[in-house]
Amino acid sequence: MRWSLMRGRVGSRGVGPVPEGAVRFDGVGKRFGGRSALRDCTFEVPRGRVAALVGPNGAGKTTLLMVATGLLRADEGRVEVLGADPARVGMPPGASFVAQDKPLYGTFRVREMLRAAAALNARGRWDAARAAGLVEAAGIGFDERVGALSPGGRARVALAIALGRDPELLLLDEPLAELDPLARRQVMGAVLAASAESGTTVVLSSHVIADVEDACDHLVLLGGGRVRLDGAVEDLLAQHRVITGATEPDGAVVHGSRFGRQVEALVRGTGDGEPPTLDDLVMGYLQAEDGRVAAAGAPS
Amino acid sequence: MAFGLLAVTGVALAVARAVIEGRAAALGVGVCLTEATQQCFTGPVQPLYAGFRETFTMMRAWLVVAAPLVGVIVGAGLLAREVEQRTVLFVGTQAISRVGWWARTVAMALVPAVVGVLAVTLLAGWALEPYAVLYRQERIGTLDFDISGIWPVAATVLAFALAAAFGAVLRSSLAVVVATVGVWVVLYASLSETRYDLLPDAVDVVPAASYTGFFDIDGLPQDLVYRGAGGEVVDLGVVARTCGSSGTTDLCAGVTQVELYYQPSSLFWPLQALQSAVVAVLASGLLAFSALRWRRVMPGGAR
Repeated sequence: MRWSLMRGRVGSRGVGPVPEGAVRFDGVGKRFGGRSALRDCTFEVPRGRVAALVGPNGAGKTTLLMVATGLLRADEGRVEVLGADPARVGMPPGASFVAQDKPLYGTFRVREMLRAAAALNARGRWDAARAAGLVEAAGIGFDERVGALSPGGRARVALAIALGRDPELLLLDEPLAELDPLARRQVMGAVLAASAESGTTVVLSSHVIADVEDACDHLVLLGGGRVRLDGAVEDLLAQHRVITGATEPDGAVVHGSRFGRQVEALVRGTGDGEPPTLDDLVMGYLQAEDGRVAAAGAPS
Repeated sequence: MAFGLLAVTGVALAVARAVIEGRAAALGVGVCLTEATQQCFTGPVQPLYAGFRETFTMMRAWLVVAAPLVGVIVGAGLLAREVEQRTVLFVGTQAISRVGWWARTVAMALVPAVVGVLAVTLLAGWALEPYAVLYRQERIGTLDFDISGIWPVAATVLAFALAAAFGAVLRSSLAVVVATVGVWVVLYASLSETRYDLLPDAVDVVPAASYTGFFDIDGLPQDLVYRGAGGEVVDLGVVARTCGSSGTTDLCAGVTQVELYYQPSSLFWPLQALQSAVVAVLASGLLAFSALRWRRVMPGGAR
């Protein structure tokens, strides 16, 4: 229901034809020395979605986001963010990014940090009232030093600055890392509120599916530098089944495990079986090699 | 930290002037701080003369170091710290070009440093004036040249530019400081060594008959030459062995005149301008390198 409401807001900014995808990767590869961090990555995040970029540590999530923001250049393939190539324009106008460690100037007071952000965005969009309002709503004092803030407070300030740019696209790298449960709820609340109010497309990465499964309506699953799965969460869940039985199921088995004489498999296709949870789906694709059933405890 | 250094230096200079004036007043020889005569070096004035020489030398030595040190401190953390603290990821994702950010950052750091050094230089000129009179120091001399005029500002700018250049290459503030100090020492030594070769010397010629061993010049001695009747140079070693310490070189070892080559005090500002111009060219090149290098290595930024 929520993403239907957001679809109603798609295209509310600007005039003229609007590209469908907010983020589009086509065959993107990125190497660091001899190691491939991204390999043949192809996916698209439609506008107005709240997309979860999920994968284990080292899957390439941060690299992917940094390529999308122009902080890194792809070695192969094509990247399009809000219709622009980040390798040519740098940080795409209309996009905002918060890195995993929320890099801010620790010796600055919050007030000074907002002023610095305003100066750095003088040539772009900057909504000072919105940024200040978000800081105030988080209960953070403007005279507090950024370096003295809790991880949650620092995350709220970083998010306020990102939203102060009035972005069409918000890219967040592990926004909930190092946050306590209350801070996580507050940060996600602020992100979702921004998305609901302004139709902002959100792409947030996490290695913990439980942190994002309730908030996201689009999934991009990374594993080993490759996109394993990409699509609307509702559709993906509807396209898969978890089947339990005595024998290997027919059909396109994504991953299966044998527990004694019982087989539990994630299968692509509709029909028999139970709908998977998002965690089932993610774990199944991350463990999938060739869809063969493995004994419980044995490598698949 | 840099501005703390300047503030402490300023206070120390003001105290230094107050102390020497108070001491001179107590001895009743305040005039020695405005016009030093021969009487200012002997008798009851001796404690004044002897008591502040070391202080004067130390203050000048500190001021020689302070100006470039301010440049190093302000410049060293400029770029390298952004990488160390990863704030380069923040800056690189805002609506500002990399060169635009570099220019703004350099200006915001360098301008206050230059203003601070200029203020301390002016204060030092006032505070050390009594000392300079008492010890008959010429501004054109080494040490005094380095703490007067526009050279301290030029030194600050050069040190800053060096640090900015290293900061765009090295990713550690500490490495930037070490590299900057090392190169600065070499550059300073080279500039000091060649300074008095930039402009021609003046010469004071005294007939050997009236030579008393002293020259009354307004400048910095460079070379002493003994000449014979035919204009030939008489070796200093020959003069020393032949003439001994008799106090006169009249016809001794064939010497007919004594020439003192010196850099006149009137060359102070031309030398300041020349040396500062050399430094300005160097600093411009270093800053340009820093900007170009930063444009390559800093990720992101609006193009």
